[in-house]
Amino acid sequence: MTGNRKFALKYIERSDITAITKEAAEVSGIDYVMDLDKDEVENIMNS
Amino acid sequence: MSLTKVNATAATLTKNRTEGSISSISGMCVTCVDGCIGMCEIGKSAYRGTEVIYPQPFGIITAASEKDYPIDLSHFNILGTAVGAHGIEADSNVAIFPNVDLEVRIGKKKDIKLRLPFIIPGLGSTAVAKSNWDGLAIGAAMSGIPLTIGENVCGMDPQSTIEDGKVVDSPELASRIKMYRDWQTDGYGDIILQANVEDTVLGVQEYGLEKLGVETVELKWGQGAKNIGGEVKLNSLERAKLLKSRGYVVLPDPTDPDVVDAYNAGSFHEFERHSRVGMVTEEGFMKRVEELRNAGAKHVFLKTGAYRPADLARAVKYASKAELDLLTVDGAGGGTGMSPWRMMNEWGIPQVEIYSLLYRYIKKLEDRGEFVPDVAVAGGLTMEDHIYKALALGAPYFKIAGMARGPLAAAMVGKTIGRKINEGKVPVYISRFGNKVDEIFITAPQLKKTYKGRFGDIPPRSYWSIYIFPEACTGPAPAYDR
Repeated sequence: MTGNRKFALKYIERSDITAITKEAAEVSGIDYVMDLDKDEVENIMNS
Repeated sequence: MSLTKVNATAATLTKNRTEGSISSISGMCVTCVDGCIGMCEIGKSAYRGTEVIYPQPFGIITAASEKDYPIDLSHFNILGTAVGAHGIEADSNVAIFPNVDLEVRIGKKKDIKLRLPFIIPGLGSTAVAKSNWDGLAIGAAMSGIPLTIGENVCGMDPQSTIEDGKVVDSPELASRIKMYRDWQTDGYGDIILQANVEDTVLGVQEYGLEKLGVETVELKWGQGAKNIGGEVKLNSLERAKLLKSRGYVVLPDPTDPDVVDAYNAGSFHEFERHSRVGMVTEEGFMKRVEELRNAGAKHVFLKTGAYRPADLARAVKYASKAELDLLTVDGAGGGTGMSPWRMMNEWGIPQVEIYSLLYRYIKKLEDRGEFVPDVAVAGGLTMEDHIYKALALGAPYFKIAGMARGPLAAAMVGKTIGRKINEGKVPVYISRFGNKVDEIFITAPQLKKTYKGRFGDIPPRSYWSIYIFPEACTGPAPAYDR
């Protein structure tokens, strides 16, 4: 949990994992890996 | 492409004659030849009948599906990050892995304390559970995690006293509870008493609540391994007759003179004891929860299996309406006992799908402002990444992970090695670590330090606890945070 900087269980979120297949993303509602962090990436790249 | 193997598996001790040339649809050899002795499931069924339905040999194995499900937890990866820290100061000297807090509190009042987010959900009357109970109970208690006593324990106990159809004494149940309680420390963990149809008729939970100090009970709708009740094999005519007299479905009928003759003649060596399937209704469920609370239950849990979505919705909704303390959902996978092999593979909603549906249903409760019960998920979880992924899939509702086969495997290994040490016959594979308990079990020094004079009472089959569990937060190779 140190790797994703969560130091207690209550901080675990759905966004801590990513679906690496589209089928898994569709079934679970977990974000597909290529769609992650889009807004944040845009902000970083435009900064 | 087929997702499953048919007609030959190590689970039923069967194989094809033309290995490597199998019809993928039927699982039969591409050429089924007259003269074959019948090693496949079909062939073996010709002379062993329904015995081939179950994984073998019963009593010393656990078993799980070998189906290749289209989606499993490997379809998800855990995401790390290079920035920040949640729950601790964002300082590289402080945000170190031993400082991860893995404790959790569950229940409506959050009054069940767990040192780690795990539960062993339901080991009942199967031989493999009975013969490894001390390893599991002591290990779970030392780990500060809850352990569930599964179905049919009193009914299967030959020493049980049953008066007017109700159990009034069961040394086996009392012993199982005591073993856990004796090693429980600082109020962490809990022992949970489960009940199926037969247990309810026998009044098992009332007996546990009133006479054995049980505080938490669980209603059981099913398990992931099968969509039916528990089954075991009985290896004597006397046992078969006893169980039939206690209301169980026993096959073949041990009171039938022809069956008795066949058994005595050696035509078969084991009877099957089956449990009845439940008939869930909302009214009956609410009534039973009330009865249990009136009988003294401080906490009431529900465990359900991998049934259809409507049944999952019922479990979620009823658990909410009754304001239960924990809802455990078991995805299709495996079991610790005797489940039909094909059922284990071909029935139920698989793990990721049932977790995903469960998340949706629970979220719906929260969106409507309804009571949200704490949730445990089970079904094939063994590795640290499995646990993290499962909890994340249903965050923030999934609080703990249920595991049975993993801890049981560790307990069985500890038992085997402990026996070999005592016999002075440590296998070569193990002897490279040494020949004594202290040398082989890496956890022994810490257990000695923690339990001091009581260390000698801990069987090696319980040493797994600090390997798999508490070391997760403090050790150099944590199971949860590698």
